[in-house]
Amino acid sequence: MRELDAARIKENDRRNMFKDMSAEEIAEYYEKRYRDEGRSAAVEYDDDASYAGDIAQNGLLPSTKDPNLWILMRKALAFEATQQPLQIKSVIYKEGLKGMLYVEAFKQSHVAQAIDSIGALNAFNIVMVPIKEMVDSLRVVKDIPQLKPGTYVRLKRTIYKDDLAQVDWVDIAQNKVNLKLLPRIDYTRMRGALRTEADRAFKKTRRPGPQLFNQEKIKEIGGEVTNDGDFTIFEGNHYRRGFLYKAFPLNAIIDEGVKPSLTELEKFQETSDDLKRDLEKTSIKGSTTKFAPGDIVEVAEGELVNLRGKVLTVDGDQVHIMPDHEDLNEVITLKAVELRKHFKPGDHVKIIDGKYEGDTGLIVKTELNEVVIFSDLTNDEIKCRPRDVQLCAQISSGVDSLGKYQFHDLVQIDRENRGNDCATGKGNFGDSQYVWKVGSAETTGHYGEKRRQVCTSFGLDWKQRPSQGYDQSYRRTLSC
Amino acid sequence: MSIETIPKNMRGLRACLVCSLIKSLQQFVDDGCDNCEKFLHLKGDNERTIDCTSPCFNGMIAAMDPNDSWVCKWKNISRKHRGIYAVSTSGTLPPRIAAELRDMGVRYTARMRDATQ
Repeated sequence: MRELDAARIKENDRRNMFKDMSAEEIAEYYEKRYRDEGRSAAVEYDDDASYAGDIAQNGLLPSTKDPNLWILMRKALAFEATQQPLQIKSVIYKEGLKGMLYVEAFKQSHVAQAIDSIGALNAFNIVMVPIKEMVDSLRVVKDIPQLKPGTYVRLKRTIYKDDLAQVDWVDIAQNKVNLKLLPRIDYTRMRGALRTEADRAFKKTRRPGPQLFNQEKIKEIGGEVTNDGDFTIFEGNHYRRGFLYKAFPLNAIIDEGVKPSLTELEKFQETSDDLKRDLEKTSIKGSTTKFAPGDIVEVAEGELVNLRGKVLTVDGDQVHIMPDHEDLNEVITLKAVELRKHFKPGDHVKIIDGKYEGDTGLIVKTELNEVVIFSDLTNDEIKCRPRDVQLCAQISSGVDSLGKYQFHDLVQIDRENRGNDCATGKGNFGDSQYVWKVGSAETTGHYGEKRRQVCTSFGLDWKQRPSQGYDQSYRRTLSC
Repeated sequence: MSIETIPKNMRGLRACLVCSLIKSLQQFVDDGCDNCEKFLHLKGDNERTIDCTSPCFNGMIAAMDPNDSWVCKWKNISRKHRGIYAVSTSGTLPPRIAAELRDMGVRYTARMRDATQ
């Protein structure tokens, strides 16, 4: 919401500014702005080659920590007032490079003079840095992890150690990150008024299992719960939709090498809206894709990334592919983890896992972690992950896995509704798009009986004959 | 400039996101950023200071004579005041403030300011 406000304010500011200017002035303003920007880019990178060697940079060994840098600086400033100002130009401390400071000066004697009386800095080893290396000595490799909201991390400490958590938002300014976790509340321990002696002495010897925050249970054990907007507060912690949202310092979490297992992820997404969407965002490395010979794959990691090829054989974890590249014509072996199935629009495929298992269709669109398939049966668009999809020539026949119901069977979904089973995918009985949709109901096994009654539908009546009209009573029953 | 520019102690240091000057948070709020005060207006404004400075920085440069120093030129601080500067800072200016700077014609490139390999 803050962003919206900020955006709105920005718009207002801008509008106000332009209101007063005429068209020419605006044009001039823009020209000036972009002209300056262009020029600045050129000036930015002055190359070091121009410096022929007037400046020498010296490294000193050994020194202790940053205070030395400041001691030098203060000394310089102090000396400035006197007759002999310190001749050094700058002092640099590189993080991680312990025991060494760089001092920049024209002459070595200046350096010596500057560090003369500083105890911690010893001029054991004043080494001049060659010009070519001067730039490198200033280079800092970016090593700060880029945590984004939505990424999965694990906690290093506390009772949530090793638990999977999802980043809610990152607060760089405070070096903290808000995480969403499964609460671990001990529901057997009494809180507040009902607390007994035994409970108070309870140590953290055993940590409670992770489960969603359950307000009734908390009340049962006497805990006090308050509401703060969207959040429920209990014992100082914020809960929302069953999850715990808490801030942790950045150094208390692990973000590298975190491979969420499918079960962990499922628990996480229980109350959130779209499981599939979140799954697509995180690449689940825990469970590997099943490849089959004949699949077109693309390398997802490593040096060969984006190389396409065809699977020849699959040998457990190792997949042998023939790359699709003019320069390479040898079989390459890769781990299943590093590969990603590749499809192009127009491929005919079968879905081998997930909600739509068993369904076949044509690929309409492919994206990094998602393919859109136009189903043969339902004529609907289905989205799924490439790993759940396999090239296949067959067209699904539409027989339900339970074996009981078939395509076009008239079944009773529950007491009131009847539906025309127009598609059999894995558990998906959809009514097709006649005038009203009864809706699709998942098969649960105990579905209801097949009704061979006097009810007619649009296409077929109960005896599978094309119908001439429709039954009024049926119509009423179906409109729900 | 003066002895005031140097941070008083080691804790709670922040680097200005525009010029990478390092001072303590309190110093920024009290005096603003010596180089950028004209357009950043940090003085007295705690929240703005937090937005425009970052505690995440790597390495430090004590620039005694920025005019004459190759190091300072390389890091583009040769026209700036004397003081302690960060070798690299992490964090970006909030978009609104970045836009303000752009409108004022100030050259600010949203950068991590690390010279990565």
